[in-house]
Amino acid sequence: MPAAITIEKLTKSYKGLLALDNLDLKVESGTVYGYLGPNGAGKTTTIKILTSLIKPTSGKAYFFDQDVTKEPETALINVGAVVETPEFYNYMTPNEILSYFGKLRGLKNPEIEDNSSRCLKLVGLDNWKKKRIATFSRGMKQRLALAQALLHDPQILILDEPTIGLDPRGMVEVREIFRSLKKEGKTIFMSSHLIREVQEICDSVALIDKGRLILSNTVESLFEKSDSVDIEMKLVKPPPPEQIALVKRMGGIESLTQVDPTTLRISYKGSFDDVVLLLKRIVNQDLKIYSFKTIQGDLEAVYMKMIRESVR
Amino acid sequence: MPESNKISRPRQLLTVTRYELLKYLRSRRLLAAIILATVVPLLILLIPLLVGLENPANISDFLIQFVSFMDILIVIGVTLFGADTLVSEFQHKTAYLLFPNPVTRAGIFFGKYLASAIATFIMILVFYGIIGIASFGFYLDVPIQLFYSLSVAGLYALSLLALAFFISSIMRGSTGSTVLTFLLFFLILPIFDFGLTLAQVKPWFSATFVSSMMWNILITPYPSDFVFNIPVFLAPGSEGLSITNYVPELNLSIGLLLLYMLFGLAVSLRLFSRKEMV
Repeated sequence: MPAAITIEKLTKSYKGLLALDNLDLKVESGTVYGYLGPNGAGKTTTIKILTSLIKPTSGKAYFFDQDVTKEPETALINVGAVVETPEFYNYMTPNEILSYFGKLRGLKNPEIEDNSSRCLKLVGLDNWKKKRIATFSRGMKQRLALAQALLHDPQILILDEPTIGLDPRGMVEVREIFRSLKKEGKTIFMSSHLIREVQEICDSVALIDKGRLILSNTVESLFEKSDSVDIEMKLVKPPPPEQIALVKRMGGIESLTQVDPTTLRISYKGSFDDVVLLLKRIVNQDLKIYSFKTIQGDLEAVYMKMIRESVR
Repeated sequence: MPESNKISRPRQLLTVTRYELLKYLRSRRLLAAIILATVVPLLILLIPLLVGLENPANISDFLIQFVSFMDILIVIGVTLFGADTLVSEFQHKTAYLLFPNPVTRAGIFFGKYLASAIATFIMILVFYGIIGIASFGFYLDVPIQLFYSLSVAGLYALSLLALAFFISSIMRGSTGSTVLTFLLFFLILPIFDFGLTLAQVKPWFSATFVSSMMWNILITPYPSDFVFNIPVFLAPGSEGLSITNYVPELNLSIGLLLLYMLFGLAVSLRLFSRKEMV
């Protein structure tokens, strides 16, 4: 069976500015795939090409074996998408919007009614189904966008910042929806700025920067491969610069950042036994530490490290 | 799960049309157009009666006094239903929802064009319906020429809509597109036509010039260009002026309107299909 999403040598330039640079990516069927990168990295450009909103300068993108750059109207049949924060036709109601898109997707009226009812209930908008969208908040529009993406029970979901605009409760509810979709074997490709959200939901992640793929792997493998430990220390009072300089010179320390006057973040190369020794040495420098925690296993740390390396 | 063979392209086109018409209904544009198409002929009918004027003896003169306003109404209809229909999907970001559906851009385009045409035709039909009733009421006759005029009005509307779609496909904002469409057909091209006429050049190629076919076709036989002299007492200090009243040639003008329609549709479809949601 072909991969759910295959991106081959995808390149997009806007008036000479390279937004995507020979991007290759494969998303296996049934996985939840996080797509990370700083602002302007090319995440939304990738998603817009996948959803036929823009054309690539070169390269191909497939859903299973259908090339969306050549035949979008066929390739998008089994795809549901939420791109950016979409705006709706304000004169319509959620029921009418779902009916419109259901008909465009070839669903029959009874199917549209059943699916609309199910989807609106799922996203918590069943009480609003007959209200004009003009009165909806951004979060409600985001929920409705998700409902229209799920309406035709697609195999693949393409989501661009799917929890943006939602309140904390909404975020939790939407993540629950993703978990249940994952259990149903759906393929979800989602970009997000919320690294913890990606870590919590996704099986695999890809990190891009300046239009190029920096890494692509399962979330588990990323942590296994990481041979350095990030440590965060909180001190009773701000340390003098000479003490910071002393710590920096200690063996195994890759980087030291003073996050705020009393918080130090250290990237340390070594085992956990080595970390114990490091802690003893730092305490011997008379730094008054009241909190010390390793943050290995944190996707954010891996992300920051890779972005730093990418910048270099 | 939907399958490709369940999706019917004609059904998709009609779905787009149906929801575009819903937009015109909910935004009250269609209502405004119908009110206008009702009020204008009623005013033309009632004002002369109220001031005690008799209806013209000739039925074609009676009909011409109504139909001579039709070009303005069509320009208003085209502005209401065609000027912002493409550009608004990009400007209001609704394309983020519409384009990721398995529907061709051509399907969306022609669905919208059909909706615009239907809405404009409703307006035209209301107008001609009232004229027809008035004609029957006063003269006990509805001449066949009125149906010819209606047909020409329909073709004129289709051509102007296609050109409005072209404007809508090149503009970035709804307001600009709406203003440009209205000014072009209401002011700029008519001024251009007038200037050429004064210079004794027949503006046969102008889309707005050929609109006079709508009322000229009510005259039997169909008129041709004629010169009329302005008497000396109306133009003091000269020997009088001669102005040619140019009449669009029927077949040529119908061909020209078809050409404008095809050009407008072809170019705007190409631009709309290639336009990116950046």
